[in-house]
Amino acid sequence: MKSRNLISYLIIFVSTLAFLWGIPALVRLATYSGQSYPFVYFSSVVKQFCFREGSGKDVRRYDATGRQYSESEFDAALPMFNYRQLAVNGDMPDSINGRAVTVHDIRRSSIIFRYAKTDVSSPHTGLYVLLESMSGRVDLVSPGDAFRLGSTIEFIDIKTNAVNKTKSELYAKELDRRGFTFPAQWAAGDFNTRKPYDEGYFVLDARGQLFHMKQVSGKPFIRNTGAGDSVRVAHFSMLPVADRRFYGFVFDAQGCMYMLESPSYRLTKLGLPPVDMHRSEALIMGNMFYWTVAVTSPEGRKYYALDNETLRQVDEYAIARKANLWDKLSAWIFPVYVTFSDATKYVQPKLNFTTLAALTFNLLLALAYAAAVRKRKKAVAVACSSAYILATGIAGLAAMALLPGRK
Amino acid sequence: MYRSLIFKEWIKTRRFILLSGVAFAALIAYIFLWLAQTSGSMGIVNLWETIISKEFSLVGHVKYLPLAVGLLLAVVQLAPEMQSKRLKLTLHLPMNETRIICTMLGYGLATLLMLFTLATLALVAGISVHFSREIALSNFLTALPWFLGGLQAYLLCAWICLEPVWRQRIFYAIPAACVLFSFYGSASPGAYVAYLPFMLFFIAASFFFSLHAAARFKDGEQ
Repeated sequence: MKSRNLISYLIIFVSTLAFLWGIPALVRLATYSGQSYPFVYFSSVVKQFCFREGSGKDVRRYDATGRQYSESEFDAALPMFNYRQLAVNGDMPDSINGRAVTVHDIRRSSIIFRYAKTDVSSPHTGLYVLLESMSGRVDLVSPGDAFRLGSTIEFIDIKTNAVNKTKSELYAKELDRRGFTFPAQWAAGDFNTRKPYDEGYFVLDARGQLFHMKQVSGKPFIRNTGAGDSVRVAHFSMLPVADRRFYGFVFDAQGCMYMLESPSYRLTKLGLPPVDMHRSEALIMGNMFYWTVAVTSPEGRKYYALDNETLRQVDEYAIARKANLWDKLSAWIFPVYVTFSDATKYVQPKLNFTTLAALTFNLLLALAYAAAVRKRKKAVAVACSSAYILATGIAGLAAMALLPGRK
Repeated sequence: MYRSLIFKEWIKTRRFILLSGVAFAALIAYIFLWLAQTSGSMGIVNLWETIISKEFSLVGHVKYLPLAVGLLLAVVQLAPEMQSKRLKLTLHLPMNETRIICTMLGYGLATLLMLFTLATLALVAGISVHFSREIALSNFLTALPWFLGGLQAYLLCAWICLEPVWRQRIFYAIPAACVLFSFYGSASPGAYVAYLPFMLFFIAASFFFSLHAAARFKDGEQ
């Protein structure tokens, strides 16, 4: 067969790609151990980050100065987090920092927000459900239709699977009247009916303007938030909060986070450095005094305490990620390997480069291979194969070993 | 000669093709019955909302059938050729060996493509009756990597079947498993869009692998 050598190279190349993923994946499975971080919360009493780590009888509770706490002392140091336990024990203070507090106040002002790196890169059907924001009922009710946003807006009646032309035209006209430019880039909202209230969707139009769209008493409510005038909006996460202080969080193209206030649409920047939206995850635990923000990246976790009123930073703390066996091993034996990206919900192969030191390992492999086959093969073939092993390492060697030599 | 060769492949595989057609028809009928029952119990509005909000797939039951059909077709078509080295006779036909193997593989691929296309059309058409085009497209994109996985499984299994040495077959199975595994990673609707070019590359590349195995067979490797 004329092209037999070419097919051999193709088999080696495809096998190398498969092994560049398969071999490191198996080694990682055997050697990777996830980093565990302590629970961290900024105390509104001692004005320090407080930490709890371990489990069972080995729990350690301490603050940033190193002071150790008993369980009850820790509860008292974090009344905004442990208010239910304090209330049950009858230890709930009447006031904190000169401000009267009740369990109701704490519950109403507490927020929890999570940002996952996959939030900005996930497949979506392109359909959304718009709830009635002011139905006059306590519970939110499904509308029985869904809408699509493309070059225009179309509502689809779910039972008939047909476009509801009247409603579609009503919304399209209102969007047009408010200056919305189609096609929409994305819409962010939450149509879960178990939330306390509904604020519809925040939609980014073709010009980068962020619009608020909801249904009020059966009519469209469309407003340009103006956020697009001051920042380049990249992402919006909606968060229904009990006191309706804000709609959610805007991320700009640099990863800076802003609170979008309700109902003024004023943007207030959070006192954080930019968050790498494709590599980092964020958790915000807020209360009426301080917000504790944890930003986790592959390098470690950083904690920030923000003042609840101004959202300015009052303290910060960092815990570097400890290298595990996989990190050490991969830095020596896999200069390059393939993974499927965890920064997106799309299946996307990603080339990872570790350290140049790992090329030493590849060089040793290539030299060992050359020494082993130099008497059986031509010098040019040995040189080419060794160069291939130098570039691809174990994966290339395994792929070459796969094919038998010719008689 | 091509017609004779294709007729020979048809004789070997006709029962299996019929059986596969029945298996696909039964599975598609089951999916539609299950859909009718699910939308009846939870309500069509609720079902739509679950699909939109929770990445709920309507075609999840299809996942491993194309893989099984692809693997088994290769075995049914090529295992008889390797028994008592009958492939030797086939390769002695008055035709270039590359053309013979390509015709055999082409027949298998065309058969699978026909089965998979009919199954996909039936699924998408059925879903489109009660669901919007976005939901139909999203389910099509969910099932697409599984059907491509069926084609890939056929070609890799053909490569392994045509390899004359058992030890080599085991070696070949390792990268083949790695490649196939990557087709079955995530069930999120539309998650494989970015990986489609890689899948098509693997399928196109592995078409030629069998030629290498057949050449080794002709060389008399044992």
